Amino acid sequence: MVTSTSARKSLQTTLEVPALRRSYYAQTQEDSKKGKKVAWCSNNIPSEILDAMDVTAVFLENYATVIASKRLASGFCAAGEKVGFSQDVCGYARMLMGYILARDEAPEAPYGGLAEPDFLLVNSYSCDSRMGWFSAMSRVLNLPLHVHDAPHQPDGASDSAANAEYTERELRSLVTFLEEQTGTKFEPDKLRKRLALSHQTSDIMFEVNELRKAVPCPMGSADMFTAVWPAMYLAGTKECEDFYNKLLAEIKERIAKGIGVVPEEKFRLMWSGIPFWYDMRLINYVEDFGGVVAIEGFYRSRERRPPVQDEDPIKDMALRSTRYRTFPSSIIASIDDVLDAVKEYKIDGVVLSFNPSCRLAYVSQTELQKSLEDRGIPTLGLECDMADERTYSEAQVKTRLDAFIERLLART
Amino acid sequence: MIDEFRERLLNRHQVAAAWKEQTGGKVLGTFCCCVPEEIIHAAGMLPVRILGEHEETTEVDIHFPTNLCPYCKSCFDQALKGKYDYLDGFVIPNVCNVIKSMYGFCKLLLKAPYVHFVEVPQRLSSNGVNFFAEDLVEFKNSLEDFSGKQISNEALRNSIGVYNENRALLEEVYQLRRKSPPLISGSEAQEIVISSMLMPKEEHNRLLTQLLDWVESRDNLPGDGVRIFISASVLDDTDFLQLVEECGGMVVADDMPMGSRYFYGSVDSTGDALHALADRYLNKIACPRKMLPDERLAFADNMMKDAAVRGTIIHNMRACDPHLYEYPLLRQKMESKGLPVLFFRGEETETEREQQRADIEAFIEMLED
Repeated sequence: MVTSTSARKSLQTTLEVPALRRSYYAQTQEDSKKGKKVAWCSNNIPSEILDAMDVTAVFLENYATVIASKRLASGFCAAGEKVGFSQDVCGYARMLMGYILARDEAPEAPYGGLAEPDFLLVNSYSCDSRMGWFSAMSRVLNLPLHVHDAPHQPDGASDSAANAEYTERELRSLVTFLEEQTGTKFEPDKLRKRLALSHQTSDIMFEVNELRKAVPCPMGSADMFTAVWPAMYLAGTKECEDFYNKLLAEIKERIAKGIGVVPEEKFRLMWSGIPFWYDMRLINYVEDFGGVVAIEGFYRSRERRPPVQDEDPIKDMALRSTRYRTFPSSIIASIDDVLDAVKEYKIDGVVLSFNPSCRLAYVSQTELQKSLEDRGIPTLGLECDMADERTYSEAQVKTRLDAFIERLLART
Repeated sequence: MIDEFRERLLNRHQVAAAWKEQTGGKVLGTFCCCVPEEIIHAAGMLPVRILGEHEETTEVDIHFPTNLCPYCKSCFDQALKGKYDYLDGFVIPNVCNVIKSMYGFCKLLLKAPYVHFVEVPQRLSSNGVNFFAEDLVEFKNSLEDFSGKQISNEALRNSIGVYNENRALLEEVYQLRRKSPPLISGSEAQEIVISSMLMPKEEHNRLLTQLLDWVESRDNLPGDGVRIFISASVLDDTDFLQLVEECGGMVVADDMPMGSRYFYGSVDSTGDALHALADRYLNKIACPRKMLPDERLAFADNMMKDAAVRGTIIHNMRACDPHLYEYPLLRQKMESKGLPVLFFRGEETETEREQQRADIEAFIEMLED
């Protein structure tokens, strides 16, 4: 039995995340017992709206990473496979279907399991897997499902009035669905307040990432893959804002004192794609050779939150998400994004994770790798599932990493 | 008569290139069932479906990862090999992650002069239909800019008429499979449907009318094998259905994007043309992307009605998410009807065929007992 797979952290603030996470899951259980409505959600469901309507959000993808980090995924995945979900299906979805449909055969669930849901919410615009997964859950659990849609906008930001209006109408449909489920009337003021807090958090996150450009790098991905958690799941809350203020202060202090992740920084890496949650220590491995993973492609705050677009908070959310895109929407944008990061973060090499069961992340990785190599930037591609540790061979991965490190050290 | 369709399918690149040369019109490549081809047709252009090939990929593997949808990879491999060089552009719909990504890849790697993205909504609602109709106005405008010609309402209505006629004729063709013995085989019916995606619809309609006249007196009937229903994600040629029929099966009903899903459900010819198109392409295609499994199961039931089906074969292209998630339910529903199920995880290779043959033969034998 693996006792810990989590990465060694450099920052004190990051060490607070596991407690925040545990308390969040305990709170969701508590809420459920008190009769609060619980929504099982996919990522990117705007938690600020749920929070403003007193709905408890449980984000299943996060729970999947918790299971994976405890190396319990294979047990849950196998249970999911047994009820018919192929190994090609997203590791997160497979293990949660296993959790739901074959609980007797699956391992004991972390944190005492999930709070029982009253309804399900899925966003349609990220990946196909979420749609299929939530639809299947809605059927087997016999619970209402609401799909939250938005345009894809492959060219990124758009000034299309039709796109903004559609997004606004979809957000209002979500609100109506929640009003029907909870019997609570939506109050725009509550949402406005939460959005203001959430925007402050995003701005701090952006500043944190700007500071990570420093040499030596004050905070690596080993910390950041954990430190993004409050922003993703506690957005719009005071504790989230406090956490990031503290994080920012610690990073500033480290920079002032010249403290880096490694004492003598020899090379800087970028991690592109989803990490392998069952072996986050892999990110620390390069530190023994004077390397640091200074920035990541996924879960990265790239820009400040766009300025307020409208007094009405729903319309504001719609306009912000249509007129601004803070993540790349096509391969062309992804290439620009990784090349910019390489330059700005003074990256010597890029590790690309290839997670085949996540089509969204997977589809671009080969072209990204090619684009980097074509420009003389060394890369290492590692193909393993992000959650299912049966696809992972630590020895093999480390041998390849050793060779990559050698290649990088020979250049410096 | 069937050869007329087969010939056009086998020589699809030459057919499209010849049309282009004769008419001076533009040819656009499309993916998936949810691109309203009528608008392209009304613009005086020829829409053709991008298809893959059962051959080794040689160009695509430096651009796309190994374990990705083999169909999409094969399509792109064909494009990189220059097989689609006659295309003037691509129309990419908002369907699955891989097809969505084609928008950027077509721009980046194929340097296509015209690449348009159609925002197909993912939630089925009147809000979705209205937005889709608005997006189709954008699509129409973009085609007008590209061609330099206006698309009149009259032209749109005419195209809707031509396409609806094609759908009605194809439905008649499909009925021929249900007869006992079938007047055409499943693989022949699929040849006819796929050829419709590759050539001018007016000509296809003319051929279909001739076929329907001819078939009543057909003397070389395809035979009367074990009657099979096929549910598939992507079967972009007729090889698989031919294999089933070589093994003693007869495909008499299907639920496939390169089959019934392409043409079932007509466009309302009254009211606003773009709104009617939005309604048909969003609401009437029983694709698992819509996440309405009940609707899809009802569609499958409708396809199987009076077809006296004895077994079901499910063929899912590897890594095709929308289909993979509905597979357990589909299997369960088929089995609850007393229909045994054979499942395949599809690749786009020649070698898989021989492995499949043994499984299909055993399945048919089991059904015959």
